[in-house]
Amino acid sequence: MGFLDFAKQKPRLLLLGVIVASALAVGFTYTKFFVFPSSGGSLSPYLLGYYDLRTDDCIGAACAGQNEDTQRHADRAGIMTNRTDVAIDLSNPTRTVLRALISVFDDAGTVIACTTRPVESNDTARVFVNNDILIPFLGSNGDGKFGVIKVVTFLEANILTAVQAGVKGWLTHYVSESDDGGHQLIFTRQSQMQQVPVEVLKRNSNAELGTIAELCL
Amino acid sequence: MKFLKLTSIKPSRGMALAAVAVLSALAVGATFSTLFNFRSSGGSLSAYLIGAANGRNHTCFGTACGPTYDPLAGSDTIEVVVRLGNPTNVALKAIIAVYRDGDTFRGCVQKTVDPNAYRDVKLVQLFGLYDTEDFTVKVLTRDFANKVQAGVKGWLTHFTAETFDSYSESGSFSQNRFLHMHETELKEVPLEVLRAGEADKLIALLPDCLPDT
Repeated sequence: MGFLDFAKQKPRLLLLGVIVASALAVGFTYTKFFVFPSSGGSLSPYLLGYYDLRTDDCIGAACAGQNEDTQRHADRAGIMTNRTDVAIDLSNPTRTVLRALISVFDDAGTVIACTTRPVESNDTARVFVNNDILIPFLGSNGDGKFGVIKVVTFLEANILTAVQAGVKGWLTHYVSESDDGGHQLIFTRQSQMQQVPVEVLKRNSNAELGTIAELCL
Repeated sequence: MKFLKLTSIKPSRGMALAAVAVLSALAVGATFSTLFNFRSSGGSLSAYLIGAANGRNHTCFGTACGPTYDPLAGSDTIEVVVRLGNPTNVALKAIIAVYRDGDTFRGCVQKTVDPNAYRDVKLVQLFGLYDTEDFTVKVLTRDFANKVQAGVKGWLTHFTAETFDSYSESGSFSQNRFLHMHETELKEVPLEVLRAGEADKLIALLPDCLPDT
């Protein structure tokens, strides 16, 4: 990387060079007056999501399948919902290396599987609930299961002993459907892992964290 | 549930450290970093959640139009699913109410959401919201002493069936439906709104609410 040769630069470039050099020398400052102050943003070490691996062709009143006009053709299978999976994306906007404990519960609230992932600074870690957690953990496919997902983040240097906020999360449900013409498409929907106050995590007792930690490791 | 049996574990340094970490966490509890790192500054809970649900029996959304081959496109089906999860250690009761055109009450159902549990409600199937209107979904949570209590997070998923023409390799023709979907979170509303009369209004719906099933 070359450096500015001030003797050769036009005045405007010189001014820019001085600004950049000043910022690098003394650090960036943050404006407090005359503009809108930063009023939002949040971090929590406790995120909540859900997964739904049911492969029903009808979701309540909404049904994939054949149009009424062609349902009389019994030899035509219509739309089949094949497989589903749910991706958890965790991104770390901080400069702290974290480790996420990702626990999966059944619909009744019993933890059934867990895994851990490091989430480094500026990194995004992607984990599939069925492919990366349920199948390796249970030894069988998780199709048909549904429930909540909890993510708790710790300092990578002190896993299990230092809860630390610093990760944002998203959920993406993937559903593959195919018709009897051999066409197959993937449909998706996405939402956020929701932040839960750290006080709830403290109140939930160490027994739960211990159970999750034991499963995860 | 099984527990760690240290004697059956090979005494590698990594495993030993992991065991010490787990035992330490179980013995003295996890600590919460406050210095030199980022404090937990966020996360929220509200006893009052709100969502927007849209019915559909047409092929145009504003200027965005789907296929026109089916003049009865309203025959396509929709579903709107309310999903609730409870990250706390307190069992809660949720009142899920649906309104249309302002204050027109369309339906209500109760759901118990135990700690770490997941519940969902299919609004169209339950209340027959199959028309072109927009709906407002409200969720109020209470504890088992019937006091208003925050502790549930929510999501709202729309499913829309779309009919299309399909030809197989042999040339046979059929009209099939795929399910499109989109999702968002239920929004948290400040407690003050509940205190200003909304809680009383929602609790007054209870006699008309469907029971938990």
